[in-house]
Amino acid sequence: MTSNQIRAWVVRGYIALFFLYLFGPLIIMSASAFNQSSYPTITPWEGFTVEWFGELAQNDRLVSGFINSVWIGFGVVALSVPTALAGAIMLMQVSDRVRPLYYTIVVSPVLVPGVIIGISTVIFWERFGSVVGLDYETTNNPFFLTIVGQSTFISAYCMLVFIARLQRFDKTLEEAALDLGATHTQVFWKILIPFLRPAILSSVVLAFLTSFENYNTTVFTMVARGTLTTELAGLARFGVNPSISALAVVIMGLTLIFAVIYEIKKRREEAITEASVKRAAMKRRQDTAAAAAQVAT
Amino acid sequence: MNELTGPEITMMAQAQITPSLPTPSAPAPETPTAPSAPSNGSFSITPSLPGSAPTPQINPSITPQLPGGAPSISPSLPGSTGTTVQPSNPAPEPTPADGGIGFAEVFIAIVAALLVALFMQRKAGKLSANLSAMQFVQRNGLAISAYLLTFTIGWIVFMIILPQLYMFDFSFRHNLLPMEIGGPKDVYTLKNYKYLMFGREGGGEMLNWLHLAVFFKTIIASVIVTIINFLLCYPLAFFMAQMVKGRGQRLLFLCLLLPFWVNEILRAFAFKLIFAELGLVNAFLIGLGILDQPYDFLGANVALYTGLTYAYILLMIFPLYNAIESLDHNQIEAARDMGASWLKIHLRIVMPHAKPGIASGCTMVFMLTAGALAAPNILGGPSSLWFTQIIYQWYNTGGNWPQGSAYAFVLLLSCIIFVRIMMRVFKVGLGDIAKR
Repeated sequence: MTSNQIRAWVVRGYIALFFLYLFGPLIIMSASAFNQSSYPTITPWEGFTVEWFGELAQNDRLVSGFINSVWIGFGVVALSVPTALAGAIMLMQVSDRVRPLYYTIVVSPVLVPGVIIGISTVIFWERFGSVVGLDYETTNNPFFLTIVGQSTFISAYCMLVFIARLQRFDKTLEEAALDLGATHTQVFWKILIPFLRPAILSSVVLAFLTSFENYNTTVFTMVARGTLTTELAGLARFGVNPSISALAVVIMGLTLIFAVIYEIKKRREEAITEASVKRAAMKRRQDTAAAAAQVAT
Repeated sequence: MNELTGPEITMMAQAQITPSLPTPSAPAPETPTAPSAPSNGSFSITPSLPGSAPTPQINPSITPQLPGGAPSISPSLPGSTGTTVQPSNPAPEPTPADGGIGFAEVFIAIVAALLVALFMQRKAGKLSANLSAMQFVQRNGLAISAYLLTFTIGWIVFMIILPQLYMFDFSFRHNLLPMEIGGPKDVYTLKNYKYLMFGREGGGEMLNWLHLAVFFKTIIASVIVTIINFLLCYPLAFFMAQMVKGRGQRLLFLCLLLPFWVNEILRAFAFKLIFAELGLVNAFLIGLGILDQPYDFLGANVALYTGLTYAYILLMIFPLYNAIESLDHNQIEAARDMGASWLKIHLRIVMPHAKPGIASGCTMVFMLTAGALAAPNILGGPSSLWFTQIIYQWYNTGGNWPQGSAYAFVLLLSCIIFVRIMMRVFKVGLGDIAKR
């Protein structure tokens, strides 16, 4: 009995330590944003202040980086979500022989380091643009390169979201609609897209946030310009100013609100889907029972 | 270590492409900052290219109806037709007599054409096999199938395959001045790879210890970080998957996910604060009397390894959780009833069952750690480098892009080897690994 109690305490202690490791650094960083000390730390606590938040708005590079990040985020969503949807639908439709090869190719960007995706995107568009005769400014535009580079792997992330959802798709719905005379375009818009709506929503959020916080690819594709994340990295590397902590508090606050809403919404939608599936199954069972009863009588 | 510096060399590296411009636009720009505005508009070159035969379905008319993807995907359309055409038309346009470059372009074009052709043929074969799908394409599914093909092929060819091939090709080239490109000096070379192995020719050293040491340090440190991560996460994953249910489990999930949404840079910065000279750890240790004066945790890379372990912890937890969760708890009970020890239960029952999850988690963590750039930039000591930082230096201050490409390719190769080893050791497919 006592050995069980000891084990329970060990487990509890381990979980407590784990979450201390997970949240401790973030809490300490947040706290340092409110310390008067000109160095971001909490150990000599010199008094409460919010002056570091004021300094943020005056940093032009951060502000312009933020605007760039938002535009790039929109671009990535607009490119990668349709790409991911197409990729996922294609996976369902390609023949069994090609599927493993196809899957390997489209999933590989998840496993390739972001640094390499950034480099290869820059090199490819620089040379390809000139081979095909495109305007130099077009193919070497930092925004174009960043959106394309990030979408390479963000599409793969989103595709995995779509695949997970598509695996539960009831193909008979599609066939029924076609039998009743619907065109395939109608089936796509009226059946497939509504079914995929939660996955589309998830991938929009996922794509935007992943794009927003990406560093490894962006630092190559943005060339001389910067996003919020690359500017932040520059500050974090060289600067020792509590205003970074203040920015961290702002970003964390926003992302946490976003994340909590997203998680709650996702969970609720999953619960609704499961409930409806269960209801349908029960209905079917009742129908079968009724039919059986009829046959019996 | 970067013998090339100065802005003109960076410019030169960027301007290397100029000679491979198609011959019609004769006045090739000297520098990237002053391009001489080619006659062709940016996106409107499709009609001017000869014979866009092999891709009839990819009709540009489809793109306007997809507002989001249109601006970025449309430039790839003319490209796809242009590249596909090259092998069948024996050098009408962009293969001038400039030696290496022309050959490379043709080679890549052939590969791309083969891939596109293969892909579409397979796709067509599948459709004809499936009667209803065939009917839909013929009747009214043209728009949708055009959308599917455009986006998938655009993604695979122009975002996944060709960039990697171009980088591979680029890594075998000399870092030339703009006027030398296309000239007699523009030939393939192993120089960039030799440099990583042996250093500068006549440098006096046997091997390029500086860069090789960084490379092996990166790989070994990534392996160690991965192992620590596994040991840290396995108990929690097991606990969450088998011991708690319902509300507690949902709460644990939410708590795990929240830090994952916080920017990677900020997570690294948090560790810089903790381990800095005036940080919490030093203050704590001095307060306890263990240290007399602050210890340089950043310089000793303690902060770096702790931060790297932290950064990708969730990519270990979730695959492990998913794998362990599918194990029937009765198996564990049965083993315990038979008298199996706690250790034996894990080694013989839980871990073999969780193999795909272990492979997935370890691979993801290793790849991300070895390819990390932000955490080493922020947390790394001044004297130590991560391999990605050297790559970045070649691109940025070093201004030697072919050299950087060679280094990047070596990194990519080691990652591929690692994935292959994991697949072989754990006997799992790539699909199991990439699942998150």
